[in-house]
Amino acid sequence: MNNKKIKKLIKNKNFLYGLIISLTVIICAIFADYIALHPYDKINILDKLQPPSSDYYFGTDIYGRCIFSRIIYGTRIVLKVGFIVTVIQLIIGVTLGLLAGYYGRKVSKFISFITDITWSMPAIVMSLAIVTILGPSLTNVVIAIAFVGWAQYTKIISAKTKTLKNLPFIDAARVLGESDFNIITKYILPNTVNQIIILVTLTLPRAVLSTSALGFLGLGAQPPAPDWGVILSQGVNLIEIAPWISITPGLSLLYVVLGYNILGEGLKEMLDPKFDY
Amino acid sequence: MQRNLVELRNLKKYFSIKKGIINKSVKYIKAVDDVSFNIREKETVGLVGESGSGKSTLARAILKLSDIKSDSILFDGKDISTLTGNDLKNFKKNTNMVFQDPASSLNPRKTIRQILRRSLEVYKYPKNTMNKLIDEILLKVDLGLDFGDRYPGQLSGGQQQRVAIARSIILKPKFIILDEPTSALDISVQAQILNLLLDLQEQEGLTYLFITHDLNIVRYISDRIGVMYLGGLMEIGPAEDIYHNPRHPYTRALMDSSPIISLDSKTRKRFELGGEIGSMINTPKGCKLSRRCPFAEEICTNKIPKMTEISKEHYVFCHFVNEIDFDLYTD
Amino acid sequence: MNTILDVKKLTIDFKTENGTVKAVENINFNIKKKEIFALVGESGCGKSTIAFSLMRLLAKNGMITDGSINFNGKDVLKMSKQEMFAFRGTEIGMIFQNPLDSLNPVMSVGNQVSESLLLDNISKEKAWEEVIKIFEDVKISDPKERFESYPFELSGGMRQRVMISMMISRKPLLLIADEPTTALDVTIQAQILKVIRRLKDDFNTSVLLITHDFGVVAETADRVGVMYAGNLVEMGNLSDIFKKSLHPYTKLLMKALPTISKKEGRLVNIPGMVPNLINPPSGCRFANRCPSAIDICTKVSPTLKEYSDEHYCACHLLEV
Repeated sequence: MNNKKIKKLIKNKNFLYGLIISLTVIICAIFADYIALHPYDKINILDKLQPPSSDYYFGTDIYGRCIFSRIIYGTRIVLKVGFIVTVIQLIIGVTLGLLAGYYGRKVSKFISFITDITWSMPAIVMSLAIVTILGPSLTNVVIAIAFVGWAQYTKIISAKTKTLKNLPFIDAARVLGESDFNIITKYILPNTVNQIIILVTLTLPRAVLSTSALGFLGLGAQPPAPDWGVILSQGVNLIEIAPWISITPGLSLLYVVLGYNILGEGLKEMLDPKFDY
Repeated sequence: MQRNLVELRNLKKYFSIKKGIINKSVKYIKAVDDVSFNIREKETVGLVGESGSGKSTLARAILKLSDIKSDSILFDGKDISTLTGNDLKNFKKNTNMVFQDPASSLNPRKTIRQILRRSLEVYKYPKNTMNKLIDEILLKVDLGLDFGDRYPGQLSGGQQQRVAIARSIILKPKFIILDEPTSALDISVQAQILNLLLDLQEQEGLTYLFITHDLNIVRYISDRIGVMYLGGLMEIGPAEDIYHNPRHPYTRALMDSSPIISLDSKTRKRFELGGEIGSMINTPKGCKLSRRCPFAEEICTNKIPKMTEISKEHYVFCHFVNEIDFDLYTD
Repeated sequence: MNTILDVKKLTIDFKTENGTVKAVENINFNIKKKEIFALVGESGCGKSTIAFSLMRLLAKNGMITDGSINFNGKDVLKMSKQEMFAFRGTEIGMIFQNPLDSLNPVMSVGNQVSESLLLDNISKEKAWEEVIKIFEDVKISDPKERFESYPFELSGGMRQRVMISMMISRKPLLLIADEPTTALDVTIQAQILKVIRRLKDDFNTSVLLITHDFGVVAETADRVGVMYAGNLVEMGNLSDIFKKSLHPYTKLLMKALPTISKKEGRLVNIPGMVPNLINPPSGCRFANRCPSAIDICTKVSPTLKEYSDEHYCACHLLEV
């Protein structure tokens, strides 16, 4: 809104550090070609299982591929998946949430029914089932995680919508002659932005972790794609002789997920209560 | 005499509450129960009542915020329950409302200017006239033009209410319902808002239905006053008549309970009703006040009182209005 | 001694992230035995702050930076934590605007009122009798049945009577009532104010009534203190304030109150807004809105002076 708010945002340590971490990830993804030392799929058997060195910052794997470069290129997968999953969950979840909250009775009951079904299923099991049916690929992982996760958007947005619906400024809109569609999109949706922001900061790191989990199980991006979960899984059997293969992607995951989480904390603290009922 | 702008004819609004899975008995909250009165062009009708009186439900029904039976409410001669298309649009354009809590009656995510502009957009005003109209209306409600770029959360209660009033008149409506517009405001701000409303009424030729629980305010601002209790209309008449000569026991009790700013407020004689305000679920078959009224007799419990005109335009709904002696129960 | 509460030079600040709010400045008043004293003013004037400070229940960021509070011979500001615990609820009680927030929802109201009585080590039966008696005194209908009721089963007016019962059960010298009837309907308000009026004679309990409603003041108070923006600007009995007001703010407020019909005239507007208390203006805080302000008003803060029997006012114009 203005300078005072921006200064306040920056003062908030969570937001600041979270932002910095997220930005480093984005920069790695965009400038991967310049930051990485080698192409992520360059095989060099002679250099296999090298510990970290000045040639290979994070060492090499069993095919002699530079782990550092694979992780850098892997940020693209991390970001892509996180972004796409979140967008899908958001669109489905928010739309259904708005409708359930606004229309009440039958519509609400129906949507709640579907929501509760998907919500009560354990996420990983569901994702596993979906990917198994559709076949392993990054796209299918995205579909699986998005399918399992939209319910939380619906629950929170429908609750918020129910609260907003009864406020006088909505009555004022009806008195004015606004259509239901306009009331939902122009009056209610903008007032759920705070909730949506918080939900996004929650689902983003979860999506990253879920992707990596499925990748670890071999169900996500297929080799030679530098999915961090895949890299991790490839290093599990070699953990005693080449621990860097699993440790580095694990730490990278920690870095990114922590970053998104504290960014979310910071945003939560900063969201202006004057705008929230 | 001016013509009727709003006509209420035996208006009923019941809300059903289903009880029990086995008997499926349906009970009703009779929020508004058979109310009839008219509001004339350019007049202010004040509506008073305590919790559960039904005054807010009545207001919402008039503006089509809830469904009602056909032929219960007429606006400008037309039955509002059958309005469609352009007629419905005209109705919406000609009616508006100012709410009790100014803060939650404005979209917190929009600036004042955006809020006012939205009204103009819905009725497809030419874009190049909008800014001028918004400026005019801001000045009309005594807000500087710089308020346009602020958000409701940055304004005081009084300023927010002015914005709400601006929004209600920007389309030049005929009829505005004011639902406790000053209850949440300080005394000094209240005076400003009441005076503003009176000025605007003169300038724009507005008709008001002014809902409040404060008898002093309603007397100041109204031409006629209606008194409601548990969904029924007890008495209606010219403001000064109601204020100085309340004839329905409920009105009298209300007047006598109302704090007055005078030195003998503490010691004055009051007519009081026993008990608490009744529940809206089990209202009596006859007069709504029959369970608490010291003058009640069997006919009161069983039969709804008909309207008695006791002086010009002053109507009371009471079986014994001409026989009641309040002094018997005044302490 | 006739005075039970003596407040001198009370000054309260609040630390906020935007600066220090000078919420209350140099307040001087007293309350006598068997008296109802009303502190009246618009929102933000500091009346509730003063009430909370008397019980030392200010928010964490509130500080009493000057002044003294003397209650029944004791210096309230110098009391230890234990002394304060014993003090609150026994010698001073407080009731609030929304009794539902103050009552335990899972306990019958009768038991809640007995709780405080049982602290005196009387038997349960004796406590029950006492509670029934108090319920009758505050005109709670069917007191024996009401004893078993839960707060959610009761109406607003009934709950407020229960709160009053709870507070007066220990026979305090002073009951602070912070907007006790604001949330109640008119006819119920009249009933509650009647109960409050009787407290001084029937229970020897004085009342400090905090309100923004002059009608409520007229119905209950013996003496009134008018507050504006953290200052006590005028103090006197009902006749002083309503008919012989001295302070420009009080005079304007009287004319802003609706007591007439629109045909008889217009309510008076008080132009302008309450000043920001983070950086209050120098001099009198009302000066920027006062129709009669003179030069000294913006430079020096006026002090409360007595002009006739117990009629006080803080205004430079009276000195000229």
